[in-house]
Amino acid sequence: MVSSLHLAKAGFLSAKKYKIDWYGAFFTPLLTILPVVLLYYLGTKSGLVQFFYGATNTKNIFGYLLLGAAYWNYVEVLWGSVFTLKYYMRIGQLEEIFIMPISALGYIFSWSVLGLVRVTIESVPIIILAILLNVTTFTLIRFILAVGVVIFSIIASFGFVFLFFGVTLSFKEGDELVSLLGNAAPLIGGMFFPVSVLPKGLEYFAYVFPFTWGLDLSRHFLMNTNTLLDVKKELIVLMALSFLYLGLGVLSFKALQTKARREGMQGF
Amino acid sequence: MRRVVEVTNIKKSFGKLRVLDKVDFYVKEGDFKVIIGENGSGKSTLLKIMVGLLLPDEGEVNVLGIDVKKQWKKLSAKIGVVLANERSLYWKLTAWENLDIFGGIYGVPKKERRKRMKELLERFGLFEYKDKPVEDFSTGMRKKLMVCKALIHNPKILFVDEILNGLDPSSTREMVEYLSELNEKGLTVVMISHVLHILPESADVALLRNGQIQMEVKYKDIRSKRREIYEVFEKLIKVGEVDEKDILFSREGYEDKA
Amino acid sequence: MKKIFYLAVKDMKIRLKYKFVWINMALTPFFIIGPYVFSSRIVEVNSLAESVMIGALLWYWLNQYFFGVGDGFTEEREEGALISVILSPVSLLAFLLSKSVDTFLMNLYITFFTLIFFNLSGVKLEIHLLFFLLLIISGVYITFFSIFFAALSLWKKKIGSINSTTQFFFGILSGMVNPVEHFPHYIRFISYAIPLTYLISIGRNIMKNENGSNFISQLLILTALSFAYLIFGIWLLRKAENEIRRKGEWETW
Ligand SMILES: Nc1ncnc2c1ncn2[C@@H]1O[C@H](COP(=O)(O)OP(=O)(O)OP(=O)(O)O)[C@@H](O)[C@H]1O
Ligand SMILES: [Mg+2]
Repeated sequence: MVSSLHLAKAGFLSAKKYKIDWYGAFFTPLLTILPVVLLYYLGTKSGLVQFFYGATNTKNIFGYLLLGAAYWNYVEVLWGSVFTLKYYMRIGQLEEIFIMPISALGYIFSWSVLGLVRVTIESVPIIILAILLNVTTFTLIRFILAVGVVIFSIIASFGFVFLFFGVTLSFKEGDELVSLLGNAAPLIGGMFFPVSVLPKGLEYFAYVFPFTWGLDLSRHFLMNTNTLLDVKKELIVLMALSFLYLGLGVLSFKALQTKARREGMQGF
Repeated sequence: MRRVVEVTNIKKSFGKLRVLDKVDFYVKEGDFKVIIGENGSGKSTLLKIMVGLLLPDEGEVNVLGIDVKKQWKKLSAKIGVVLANERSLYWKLTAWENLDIFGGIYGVPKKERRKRMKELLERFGLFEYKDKPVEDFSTGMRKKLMVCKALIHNPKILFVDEILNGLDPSSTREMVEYLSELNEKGLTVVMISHVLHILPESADVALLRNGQIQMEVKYKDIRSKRREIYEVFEKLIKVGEVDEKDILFSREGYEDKA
Repeated sequence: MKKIFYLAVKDMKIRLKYKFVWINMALTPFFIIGPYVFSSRIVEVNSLAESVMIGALLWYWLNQYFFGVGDGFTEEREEGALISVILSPVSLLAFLLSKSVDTFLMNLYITFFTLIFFNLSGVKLEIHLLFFLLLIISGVYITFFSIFFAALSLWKKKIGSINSTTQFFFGILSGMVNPVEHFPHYIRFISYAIPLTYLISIGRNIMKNENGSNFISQLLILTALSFAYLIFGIWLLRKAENEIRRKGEWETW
């Protein structure tokens, strides 16, 4: 872990040279929801809001979207480490990186630690805002429960990253997989509206995705929105899925890494 | 013979660091010039100025009658360049695809291009690997392919930066032999090299030191019965001179740069 | 011209070495613009969804051009092959144009699948000939706009890193989800400086089958604006090129 902190420092120092990147990454999730906010705000206001209330039990569309954005930030920030991996492949430094005494977990950690810090700083105002807009339903217990849900979601997320890492090492196209999932996730995970509104095919897809449940639960605890299932059942589903994905991720990583070491890691 | 490269009074600094300080350098048609000097002495900088990648702060650069500062793109089709960076090919593409595309970009007609590609690849023993992506090549194979790329359009002058590094002993000899064969057929070669024990007999060696071309000497004149050639060069590069005793043909070998 | 062709072929050849990229390209736009389209359909007003979809689709074209052309130097620079192109008799402009050809082809591929996926989810666009004409015009004019951005980020490196952030602002300001007429005055000023604004508006007119007179004037403004960006872009490209030749940063920037 200590050595991965040094690697994190290298990342931090490089990032400092490109200050404007921080600013860009800071705003992206907010920007994603902005068109939708505007759509509700400037568009056919009344009809949309009314419908929304019926489906979610909240009129606070803005808070709903903000929480979605904050949640996705946490889940996705780990995935960014795959882009780092691919970057080293492209500039031809992967082999140098891989002879360092750092484990896969160490790489993921060191390449995403910067992001985790950033996301946390960035999420605080979002979360405060979302809570302020829902003061009536806020309690400490519910807040702690929400944090717990996010932690489980991160465990599931680690499962995904391990899989992505393995794919990147041996098939090189892991970054494409990450970007596809990263782009699909907000829609099918219910960041913008309840997944029940989705076209049927996508809706089923949403249910095998652990983050759909995680987001649904954290919104419920913070904003008292409707849940897809009974809360207790939903918690069990989330935990089961999280560990399932973590297990699958680690196993596939091991297999794929071996394959990569057998076939050589040069190229990208 | 006419001068195909004329560099006069070049100054170049990066920030406060003065790298080239009034460099005068010229190459005549058919020359085989080798630029030597310590790490960081500015050899690559000088080469990049000659091909147009870099603009000097002061001074004139004229290659094949073209003002390189202004019309470097016009020059680019007439020269071949191999830089020290080994990643300058498309790694995802095969050797064949790389040459085909660069040949196309350099305007070599298809039929002639195919013929040349085959010749070059065969010459460097790469033909059997022509369908392998460059990312699967070894370092030396890549260097050879980079030379093929630089020669695909039959340039008049070839500029090469440290291509002998990373080649095995027989590849090094073959590369030098090939370049000197092309040189005999009329190709002008400007080469930066730290590998000095095996240059062609006809080469002229120019020493870049303290931001200037301090002396030029014929390679065949640097022979010593007393020492290894490597030691002679070490002293030349470091101190800027050689003992009279290490020069075979007296002072005629020198050209006074002043 | 030939050089541009060879460079575009090269891009295609490289892409063919990957497989998943093609799946990703076919699916991603659906997921990216899906939220906007489906949000607008939430109350079953299909005309709104269609109008948002036209906006979002054209915005996605712009995104692709901003990554493909506007950020056209990055990939090859990182991989190291850019220097070989720079050394060849290809100008920076020709290089960017080859990227634009490549982006155009990819955009056609992308649009084909996106239309299919939305169709399957119940949002159907009527496709006329005019629509294809619009796509071609978008390709040309957004290329001009992206060349301007590419020049800007070659000149001031750091601008490149706000590429995707900028794209979002362009999307919102050009009326992707809401017609620009709903914006306050001072914001509309910015909107009218973005070529995408006119393209979206023309696109919506075509969809509504309105008569041509309405968008001819917009087309003229769009043309003038785009050429202005192109000319300014080319000038900036020159400036940036000389600056890099002075600093010797072809490989490092
Ligand atoms: N783009 C640049 N910006 C700043 N400094 C540079 C740049 N390019 C070269 N330098 C500096 O100029 C000096 C000469 O560099 P150059 O690459 O020409 O040396 P060289 O003689 O080729 O060395 P080597 O034998 O190690 O290849 C070095 O001190 C280097 O740090
Ligand atoms: Mg050098």
